[in-house]
Amino acid sequence: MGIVFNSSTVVWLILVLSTCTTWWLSAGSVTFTSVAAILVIAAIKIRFVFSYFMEVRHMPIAWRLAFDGWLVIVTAGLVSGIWFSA
Amino acid sequence: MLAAIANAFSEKRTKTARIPGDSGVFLFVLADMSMFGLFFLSFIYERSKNVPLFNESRLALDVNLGAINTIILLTASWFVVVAVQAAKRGKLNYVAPFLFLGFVCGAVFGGIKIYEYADKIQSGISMMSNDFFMFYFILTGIHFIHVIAGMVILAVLWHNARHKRYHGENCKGLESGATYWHMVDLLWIIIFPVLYMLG
Repeated sequence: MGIVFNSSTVVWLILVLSTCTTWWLSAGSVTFTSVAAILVIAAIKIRFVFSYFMEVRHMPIAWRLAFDGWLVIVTAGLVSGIWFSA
Repeated sequence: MLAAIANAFSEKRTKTARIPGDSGVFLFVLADMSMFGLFFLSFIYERSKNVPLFNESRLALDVNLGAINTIILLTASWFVVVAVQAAKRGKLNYVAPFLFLGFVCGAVFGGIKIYEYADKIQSGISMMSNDFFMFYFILTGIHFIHVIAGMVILAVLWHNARHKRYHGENCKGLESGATYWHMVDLLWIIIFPVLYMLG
């Protein structure tokens, strides 16, 4: 595969398209569901950055757990915070 | 080409696990992310005490500028990934130009952020206005400092790349700098929806 067109290009495209989806979701009415969807999309984007940009997927299991653990704690904290204040 | 992309995604972890860069940099990145994680959770806790104020205040922010800045940082990260991959494959002529493109994206992000700050200040909004704007200025301000630090790192990497110092056998410095830059990107991926969309 080429230097410019390879799996990282596809990942970048997915990240940009999901940002546009979030952008579109934010234009509608703000409900718990739409906000939770926006946060989950952000978490999935970060998982892509971890795996394919930072190459965390090639790291030893302890590192992978540390990065994924951070993501789960932050996302769960944000979504539950929104839920309890809804 | 599609088959090649599919193969890259379905790549099994048959390779020996490795740390792409310096383990100290990854530890620093985790510590920095943890600090931001605490900021995010503090924000959501304070928001729960006064949801109407936070909802009303975030309307003063420009979602379009926040989204454009997200796309700019994602693109900057991709440029840096291309530079690292080029160095690993021995395509050394690609490394410096793509690092430079990443740097330019960082500068555009900074320009838009300064415009946003100036707009808020001209509208009489400061970090003392209310709790929401205190979080807005502190979170985005600390992130902005990270962007500037990242741009300095990209400038150093670019200088070294111009002298062909990064290649297949010597990529650790380049990978470590790239890791820091990706952290700057991923932190904004959360800051944007939390501040601009939840409010």
